[in-house]
Amino acid sequence: MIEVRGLKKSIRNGNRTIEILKCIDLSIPAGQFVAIMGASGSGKSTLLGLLAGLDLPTEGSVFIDGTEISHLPEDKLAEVRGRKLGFVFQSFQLIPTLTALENVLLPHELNGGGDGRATASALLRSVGLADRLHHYPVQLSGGEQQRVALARAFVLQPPIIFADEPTGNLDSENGAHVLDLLLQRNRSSGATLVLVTHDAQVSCHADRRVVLRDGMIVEDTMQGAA
Amino acid sequence: MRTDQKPSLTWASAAKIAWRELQASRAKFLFVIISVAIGVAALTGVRGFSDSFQKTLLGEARTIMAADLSARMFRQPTQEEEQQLNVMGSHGIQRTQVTDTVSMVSSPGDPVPLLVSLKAVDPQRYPFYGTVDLQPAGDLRQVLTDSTVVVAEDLLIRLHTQVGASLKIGDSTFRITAVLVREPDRMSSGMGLGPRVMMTQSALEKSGLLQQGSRSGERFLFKLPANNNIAAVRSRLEQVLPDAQVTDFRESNPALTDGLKRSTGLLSLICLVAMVLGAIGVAMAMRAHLQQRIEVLAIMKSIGARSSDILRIYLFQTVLLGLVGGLIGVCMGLGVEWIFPSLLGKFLPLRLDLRLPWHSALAGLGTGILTTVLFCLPPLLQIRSVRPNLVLRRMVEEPSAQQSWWTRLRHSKAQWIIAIVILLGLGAIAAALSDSVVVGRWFAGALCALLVVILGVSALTLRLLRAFLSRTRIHLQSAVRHGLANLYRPGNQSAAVLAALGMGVMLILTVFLMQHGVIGEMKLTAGPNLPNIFLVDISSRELDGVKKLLAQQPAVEGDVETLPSVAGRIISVDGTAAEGLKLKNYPKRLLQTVSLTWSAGLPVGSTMAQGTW
Repeated sequence: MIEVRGLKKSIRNGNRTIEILKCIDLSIPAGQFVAIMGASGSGKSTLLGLLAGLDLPTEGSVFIDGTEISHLPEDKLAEVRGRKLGFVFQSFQLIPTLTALENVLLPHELNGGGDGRATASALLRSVGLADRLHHYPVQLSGGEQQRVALARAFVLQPPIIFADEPTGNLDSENGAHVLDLLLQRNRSSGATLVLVTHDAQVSCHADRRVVLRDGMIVEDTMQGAA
Repeated sequence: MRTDQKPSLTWASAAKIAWRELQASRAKFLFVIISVAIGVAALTGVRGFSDSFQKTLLGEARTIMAADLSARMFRQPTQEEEQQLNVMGSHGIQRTQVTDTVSMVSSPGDPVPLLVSLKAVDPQRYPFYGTVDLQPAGDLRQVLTDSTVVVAEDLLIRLHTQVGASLKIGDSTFRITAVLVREPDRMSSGMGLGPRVMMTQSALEKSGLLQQGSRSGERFLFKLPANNNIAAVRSRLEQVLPDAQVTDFRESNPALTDGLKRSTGLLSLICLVAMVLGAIGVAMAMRAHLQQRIEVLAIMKSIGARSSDILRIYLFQTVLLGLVGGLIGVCMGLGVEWIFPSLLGKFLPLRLDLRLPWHSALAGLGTGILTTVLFCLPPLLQIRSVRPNLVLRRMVEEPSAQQSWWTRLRHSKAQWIIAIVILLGLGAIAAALSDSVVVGRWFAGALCALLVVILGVSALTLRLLRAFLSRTRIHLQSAVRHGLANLYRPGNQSAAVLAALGMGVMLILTVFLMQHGVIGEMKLTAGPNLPNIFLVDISSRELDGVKKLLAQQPAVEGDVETLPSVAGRIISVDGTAAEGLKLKNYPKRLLQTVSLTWSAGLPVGSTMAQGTW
């Protein structure tokens, strides 16, 4: 469960203060697939960053499973990110000096403890990369890199997955494959999926669509009701 | 929410990531390794060479004294003193007695007696170090018996006698069994009044020369077991024999060893400054590296890494770089140590006994790693401020951008603490290298002041450059304009580069000035032109004739230096009569005959500790 109350974010640019998000209130129940949409500069990624505890709000609070994460100390926040959240980014964000398997293992090494090698290998096989385990990111195609990123996001079976334009840098075939994998995770394990996208087709698969404009929610619709 | 402690990244995983990154940026880190290696090489080379040189000197010094410790007195020890000396002997400290006296000797065929310097030893123990060279070659223990003597060649010439002949000493006659070519402690015996005659202690007793009131000097030579604390034994000996003049082998060549120690300390500090310069380069390289890896840091944070996990990776990397650079530096330093003697061969009076300088190598390695880690701490601790939302957008607002420099200064507590840690660390290294806490304190203080001044001047230069460009911008060529403007763009390390350059220039200047100072001092105290022949007891009326004679001798180099001298006697010191003076380890009888000299000005190389000349 994600709860957002009175969330504001502004940044200073020289002498100017730019308001990126203006008083956002949002509640996302566990297991829901929410697509956040909006034009460039509408504040989508900023909202995602605040929901995931990657950034600090100027005002307001974010609660994950009842715990306010907006003002947690850095170590506690790292713990929340590591154990409860999985991330998928537009530009894959793999560690270039680690192999596919090592990239997937990293969250396990940072947060899980014990040997996660079997889980990581199984996950990579499940995303169709059985023969690419020991390849470095630079040796993989964009689609393959994103599938490694998915496996990394899933390895600790987090209850919430945040995805920032996960299909943005992929061709339609790879994009569809990645989306399928995300949906599969959302449906099979009941993980909450918060996905930022420009693509209306992608948002069609979501349970709920939240549209931002100029830092405010201008549309919040349940897809079943649409 | 689970509350159990989140596990940390293991050192093995941190090492794996660190190693992969090192491999991916080999060229960049090669520079870092070379920077560390050069500093460590200089330090190891200088200290290793100095260590070997000092050990060789000390080895020779034992030979000059023929012992580790010597106690000289002008009487036989009392029964109580003898007992206490025996107690020392029970702790493994070996002792032998050497008696120096003068006597008249004569050859049976020549009625004219000759004044000789007589030395009585126990050939079974004497000398503890060095050898007695005889002609014909032989072992002193076999050649010198209670009925034989060995003599200097000039005695044979002056008495018109030869090896195998007899010599009358006191009440007894002895057979000359060999010519004494060299005795190790000749310099420690004092200036001889005649040719040397060496005999056994029993023979001296048999000759009846030593009677109550005879003028003789007793030297007790001691050999300590390995790893014995010489300072403690010396202190004990000074208590046991309060009248004796106690010296140990470390004092046998103070001018050279002190000069060497000072030069080594100075060169070590110069090497440390060079290492600091290298470390600034290393810190800048690490900062640039982390800047390039900032996205990776953000990714790691976004998937649950704590700052301490990431710090572990880069700390491991830093230590590894310091270690590899240090090890290469140690190898290079050993090369320097081995090359030094061949370069300085003709200036060194000794054949150096080169050995693996473990202490110097460890000191160099430790200094290299410590300096690297200390200087990399500021960029490493910047890891804490990397924001994980960089994974979403490249440009992230810097919280400090909206604060004044004074606020930023007050808020950068961690940076201040690191700066203090670096200074303390450098001070400690300097203190360890120079064996002086005071030097360490001054070094850290001076370096700090210097950095503040140089950074201030650098900042001022950049501000002036900015002002200059804002006025002349349109008149300059675009390449020049962009090049100069790039020097003060945000995130540029121009101030640090200027500071490093400034320190480099200053270091070269310091080395140049110090070199002149040290060489001047060494020339004065241990130069090759110091006199090696002394003529004594020349009366004023003979002086001109002697000077003329010496001027005609082609083997005599340099100007003949004359020193006036008159024998005197100390009556009182500060109103206390000589008899009432309480002297420590200085025989009172020496106050009875002192040599007085005079000069219009303070002699060259002398310093006034108190008062005026």
